[in-house]
Amino acid sequence: MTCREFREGLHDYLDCALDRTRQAAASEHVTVCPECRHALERAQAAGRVLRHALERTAAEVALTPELSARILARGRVRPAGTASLLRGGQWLFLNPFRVLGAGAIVALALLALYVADLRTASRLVAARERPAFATFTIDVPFQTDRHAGVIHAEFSTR
Amino acid sequence: MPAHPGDSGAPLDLEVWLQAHGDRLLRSAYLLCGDAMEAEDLVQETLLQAFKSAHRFRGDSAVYTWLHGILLNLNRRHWRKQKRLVFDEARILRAPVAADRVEPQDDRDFQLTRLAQAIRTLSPEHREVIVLRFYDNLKIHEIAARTGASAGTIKSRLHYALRHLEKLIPGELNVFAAEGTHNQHSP
Repeated sequence: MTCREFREGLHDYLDCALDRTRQAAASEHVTVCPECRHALERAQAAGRVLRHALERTAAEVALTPELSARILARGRVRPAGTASLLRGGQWLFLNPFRVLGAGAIVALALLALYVADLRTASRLVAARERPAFATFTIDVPFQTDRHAGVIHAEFSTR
Repeated sequence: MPAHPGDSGAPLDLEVWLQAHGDRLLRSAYLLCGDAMEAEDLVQETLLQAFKSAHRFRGDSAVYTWLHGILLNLNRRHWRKQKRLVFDEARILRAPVAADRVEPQDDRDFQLTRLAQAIRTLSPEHREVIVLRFYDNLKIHEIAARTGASAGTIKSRLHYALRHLEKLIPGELNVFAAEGTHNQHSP
């Protein structure tokens, strides 16, 4: 590996993103080339300093309870207990495909009920038209001051 | 095992996201935009946008990675809105890095303070690549994936960002003479 190739691939070498052969060649190169070894060491040192500086700067801010409350209020998040109950509704209404799917299921259920209702009605009509298997008749005579007669009742099984 | 506590939580639980990732997102946002108030707004918008588009989250990546991607997009949109504030490299290089505002306690502290100030003067694209590389510890191809740029573009931005820092930091504190830097130990 040449010095130029090493410098061009320095980022990938540090990421261990070179293929195995080139990674080995780069490791070999820094053992025999003081300039590239120096470049590598400075790159690592600069990285450490940058990381330290960024972490120190980042520590200047932190998530405050006020910011958390503001975000949760804007998200209209309920307390933990009710949030889990509402999650099912959110799952449904956040996705139009899920809404369509749920609608299709309801439509199919209604259609099934309608068909079942039709079949039940047609069975009743057919039963009415079938000849009776047995017929029972009851006659109950009655008499009052002004009327007299017989109450006639007939029961059929089909 | 999830990388972060919130990764195992329900994708719609904003409170869980906030507790697990809010602080890290806020710090990353602060480094990216350089202003505490803007960083708070960015995190707020990030979490609310994620909450609204949670059905798109397929779970292919960690929740933090997904949230951070939204944060980067919002931050980039913020740059575009501020396009009228043109980055003037020449003006920045003429001005010393706020030496009069620094109260050095020791060399190390002084160096870190100057470096932090220098990073804030970078262009948004260069600052982004520096933050992703050295704060979020991402590899070149990971930065490329998160920003939507090619690996070559990321390497180029990193190279020029380091050169800017090299110019902005006084010679005795300069650790950027070599091309390319990283915080890992030698592989």
